[in-house]
Amino acid sequence: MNIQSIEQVKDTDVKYKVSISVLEKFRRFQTGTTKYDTEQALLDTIMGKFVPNDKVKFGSAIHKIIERFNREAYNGEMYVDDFILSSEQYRPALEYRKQHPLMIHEVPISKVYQTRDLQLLVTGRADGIEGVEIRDIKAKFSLPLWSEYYVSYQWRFYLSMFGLDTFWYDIFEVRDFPPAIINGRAIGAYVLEPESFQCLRYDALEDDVLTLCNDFAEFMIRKNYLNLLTKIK
Amino acid sequence: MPVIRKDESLPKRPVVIVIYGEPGIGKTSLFNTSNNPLLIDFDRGVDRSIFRQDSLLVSRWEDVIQEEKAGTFKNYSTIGIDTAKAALDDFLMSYVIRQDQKLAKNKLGAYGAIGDEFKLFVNNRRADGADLVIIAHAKQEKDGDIIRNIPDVTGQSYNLLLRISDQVGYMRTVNNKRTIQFEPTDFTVGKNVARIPLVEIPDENDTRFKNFMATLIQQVKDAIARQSEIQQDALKKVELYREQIESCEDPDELTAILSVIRELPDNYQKGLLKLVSDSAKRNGFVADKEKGCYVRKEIAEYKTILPL
Repeated sequence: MNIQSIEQVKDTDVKYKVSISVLEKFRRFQTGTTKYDTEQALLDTIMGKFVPNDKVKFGSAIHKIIERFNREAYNGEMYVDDFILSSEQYRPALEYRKQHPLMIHEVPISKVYQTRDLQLLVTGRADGIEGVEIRDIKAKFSLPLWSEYYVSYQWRFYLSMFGLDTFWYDIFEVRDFPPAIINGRAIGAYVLEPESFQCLRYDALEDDVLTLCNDFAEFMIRKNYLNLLTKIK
Repeated sequence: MPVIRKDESLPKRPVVIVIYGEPGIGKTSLFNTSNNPLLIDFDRGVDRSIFRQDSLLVSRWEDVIQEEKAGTFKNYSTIGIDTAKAALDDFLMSYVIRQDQKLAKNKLGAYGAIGDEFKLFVNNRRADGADLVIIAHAKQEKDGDIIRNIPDVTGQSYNLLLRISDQVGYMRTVNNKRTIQFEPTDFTVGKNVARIPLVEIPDENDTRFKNFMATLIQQVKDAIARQSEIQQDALKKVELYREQIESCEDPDELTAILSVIRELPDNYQKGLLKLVSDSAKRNGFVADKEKGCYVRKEIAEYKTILPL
């Protein structure tokens, strides 16, 4: 640990702000989930360097229909952000919204985790809270790999931070997504009814979450990356 | 179909339980202690089990479909699949390829078709009201530096099992006693909707063994029913407060609602606080932190200007 880091860390009033997405990215880097989960990719996520591609933008459009639907369809098409969605593309999201009338959308959350070396203020935003359950909506462009969600720490952090026991991934699988968007249309693409995957609190969940926070803090100090995180007094 | 009134409890739904572990540990024998069971024996392993119950020996997936059409499964309360690997990766794989030869060269498509076919089978058993116990051997999977025991099926079938199951337990011997671990650990995959701690399986001569699996399944069903009631109760509260929050046009009223919400259990609070915050924004209210209440934005601005 260098001198600067020690001084920073010893200030006990300081909290370092980090999002759940960054911590999940760190876990993927730590376990070498894929060849894309590099240290540079982690740093890019910390610094918010992210250029959304068409698939990400399409997924956001699906999200928007669920979060704050206030649009009418014209001639069987719906205008959402940069996209013009066909009924095969918007209907599953619309149905989902109707099936979850009591879901509270976009609920922010934060919690301080005291690691061995410093305090982390972990922040997140749940797609939906429905009763005592958390729901996360994702668009996927290939067969969903539930085991990847199972090992993820995203749901563990949300359960820990909200103090709830049940988390659902609701996955909208998008098929036949075209290589190019023409006049705002993803021609030929269609969206399947969502499939849900349940993740549950378990005895060691809080320990696991804190262990990841500790590993992350230790990594950031050792690599002298703390200056990349926002400090909160 | 009987109508269940909104204030009535829903009937306990059938469950799907995956039990995996090393060969010879007694997984099939454990299944035999279920309530009114029928084992679909894909692996020709039933003869090694004790307390043998009714079994269906199949040679291809079409045999399963035939028995389904004949209504055989409706006569049983618990259906066992032994083993998952043989059923999914061998029998169903051959079946979907026989249905569509192109899938022989399209493994991803084949697993999609297997998933659809198996989900149909599971849904039909649910419709019959039968519980499903899926038996699998264990294998080891590497995740970074960690080696974890998981059910022995191919990747896509593993994903399917994780998705459809309510409870996943690893059976192993600890201090010469057979146990089931449902809680996930660094070294075992698990799913534990009923939050069942490590269970020691009684000796086969013990009277408690005779209906051990039936008792376990009942525990899982009771836990799901309990959670469903908690969820229904929470949703009712959300509905009630949401109506009040959304119709609120007065800052004092919103402050009053906020103080009530703050008294609610933690797990209801955070979502409702978001609705209060949205309502304040929509109505142009701001928080007066000194007084701990909402005020109209124009009043807050007026107060700020007043001392000048």
